[in-house]
Amino acid sequence: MTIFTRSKRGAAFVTGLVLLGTTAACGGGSGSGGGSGPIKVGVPLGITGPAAGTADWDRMGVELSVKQINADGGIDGRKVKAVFVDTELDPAKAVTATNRLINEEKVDLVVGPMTSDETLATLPALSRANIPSINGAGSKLDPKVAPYSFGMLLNAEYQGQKMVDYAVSEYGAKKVAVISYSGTQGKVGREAIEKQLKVKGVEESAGQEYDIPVTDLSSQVLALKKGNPDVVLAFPQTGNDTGLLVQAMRDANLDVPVVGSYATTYAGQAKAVAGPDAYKNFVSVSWPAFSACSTSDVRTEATDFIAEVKKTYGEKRTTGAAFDNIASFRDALWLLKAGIEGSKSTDAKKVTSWLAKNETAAAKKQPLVHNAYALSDDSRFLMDPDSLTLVNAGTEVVPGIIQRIDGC
Amino acid sequence: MNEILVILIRGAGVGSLYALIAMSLNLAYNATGVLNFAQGHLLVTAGVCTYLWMPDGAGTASPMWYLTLVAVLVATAVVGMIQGLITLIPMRRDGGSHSWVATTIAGSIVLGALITLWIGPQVVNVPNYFGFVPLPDGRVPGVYPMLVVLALVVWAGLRWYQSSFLSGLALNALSQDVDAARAAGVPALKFQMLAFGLAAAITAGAGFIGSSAIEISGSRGTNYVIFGFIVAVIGGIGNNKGALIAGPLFGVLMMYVSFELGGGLQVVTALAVIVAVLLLRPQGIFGRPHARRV
Repeated sequence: MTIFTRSKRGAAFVTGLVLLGTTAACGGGSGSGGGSGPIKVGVPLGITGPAAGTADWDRMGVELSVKQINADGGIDGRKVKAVFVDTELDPAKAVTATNRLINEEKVDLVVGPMTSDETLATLPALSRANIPSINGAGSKLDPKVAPYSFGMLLNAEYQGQKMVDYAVSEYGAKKVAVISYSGTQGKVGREAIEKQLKVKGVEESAGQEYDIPVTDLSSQVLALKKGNPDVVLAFPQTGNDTGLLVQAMRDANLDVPVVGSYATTYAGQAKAVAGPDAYKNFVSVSWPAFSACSTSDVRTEATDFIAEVKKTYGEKRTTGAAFDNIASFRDALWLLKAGIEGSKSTDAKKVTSWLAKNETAAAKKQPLVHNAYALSDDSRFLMDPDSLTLVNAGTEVVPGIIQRIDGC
Repeated sequence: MNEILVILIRGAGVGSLYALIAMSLNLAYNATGVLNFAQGHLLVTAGVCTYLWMPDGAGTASPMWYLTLVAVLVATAVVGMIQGLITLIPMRRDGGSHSWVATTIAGSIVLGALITLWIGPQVVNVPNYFGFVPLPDGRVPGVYPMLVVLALVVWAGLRWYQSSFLSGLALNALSQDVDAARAAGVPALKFQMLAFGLAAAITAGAGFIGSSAIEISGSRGTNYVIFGFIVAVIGGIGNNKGALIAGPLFGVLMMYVSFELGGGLQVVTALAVIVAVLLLRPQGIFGRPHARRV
């Protein structure tokens, strides 16, 4: 009997310990900003897979911000440590990688993943774990889906609208063909394009979609050509598929202007596939920070950042890099730092609530590279949609700064 | 009409690339009973070697182009033989084991990781060495017809080799019955490694000639071996003539589906084709049913 009682007590003790451990594990991120150890930042990226080149840029951005923030005294006096995990750009693997960051690495913050598909897959786990994050999604984010997370990329819906508006106003397009990759951002961008085409009374002569990774877009381009479009609107995922599109259009003798989404600005990748004249008849939507009409309006924040990236990582690794992409991942951690220090907590609710109210003002105080931050309570996109600009990504005003073509 | 021509030429070219992978799978399978899942990464390895070793500006008129071709073939064949040895040794200890599934998949993963370490995570690109085939409205890169020619040359070359040379006949003997070949004095391991080396060299040829048409990155090999495997199954595992015919047909079908129904349906089509073939003819369209000992 005594033994039985002891066993019961022992079992209760062990159960209590397990429950305590579980509670602690589930409560990651709920502590205050005044903890003792380093603040751990989980960074799920597609380090291998079809967008590995882009992931390398994103990694540089996070590494730079960690280095700078630590040199600046850390976050609320605590050093910052980044933990990188590979998602292979696969939403299912992104969930596994994020669970590892939450349960094994016990991260306080997350920067990433890179795409809308991965982000939408990982948000429930991050929300449950009460971890604030800034992700690389450009679509389908709102306070309900992403209560504690913000998207750093350009909103795909606004990109789609801008692309249609430009095709109509600049080229007088009456018929347009649309090609997009099959991920969430591609689908959302395409839906936005189709909606705006209806508003403008423009016919969609053909639409094509493709899976990533892709090595040939000739059959899709042939289908687009059948509709005899005035303009092609493109929503690719990387510079590689942008180059394949240009190559296929060239081979099919489809010589019409292309208006592309942000991914088409990855000129290094696109030129590697389609050659130096890839952007001969091509306009892209982009951020304003890394574009300029002429040398006189080049931002020193951008050129200083480019110089720093090149100095840190060398010419070879940064050749053809999209510095605006690196900067967005770099700025993300600075914004989370502002949120933690402003709310005096790493609690996701407090950090996101503080950022939603103060991001625009905080952005002015932080040494950020981008310049179009404008968050509101009902949005989960960090960037101001009105700041979208059009560029000729194939032409540089100065190294790393691309030619702006609107508002000049 | 123009669209049909493009679909036929490009589709046949891409399909021939898969046919070449299928033939290399067949060669190793016939001699060893192993389906080498690392064959896709050997293709990418050849692409990486071409990207790194081909001098700038070298074209088909330059002797350097041919020297690079030889270097790529030899280097990839050596990698293939080493990988074959690693696969075959555990099987010798236990002839009936399926250790090859694990070792070839592991080989594929290791090669992918080594490629990523070697060239970095990004996709690298090789120029098209074969010009363009002009069409009434547009053009097709010459690499696609070249892949068709290569598939025909490899198929014919393998037939000649396996019927006219002692080592080729020994490979044939292994494909009939490994134990009987051993009993007849054929050094099985030596010839099985030769089969792995030759299979890797065929894949290397496809990777070199088709380097401008493939995606060269550490993470892409698996996709190529999957499509090569599909073609091998459709053609009948172990049957090179089947692979030679099934590959281009499969490539053209994929392109046509993409053109008519959209690129999103390409993979679905591939899977539907393999399911249909397995349902109707489990031995593949050109394969023969296996005799069963009773």
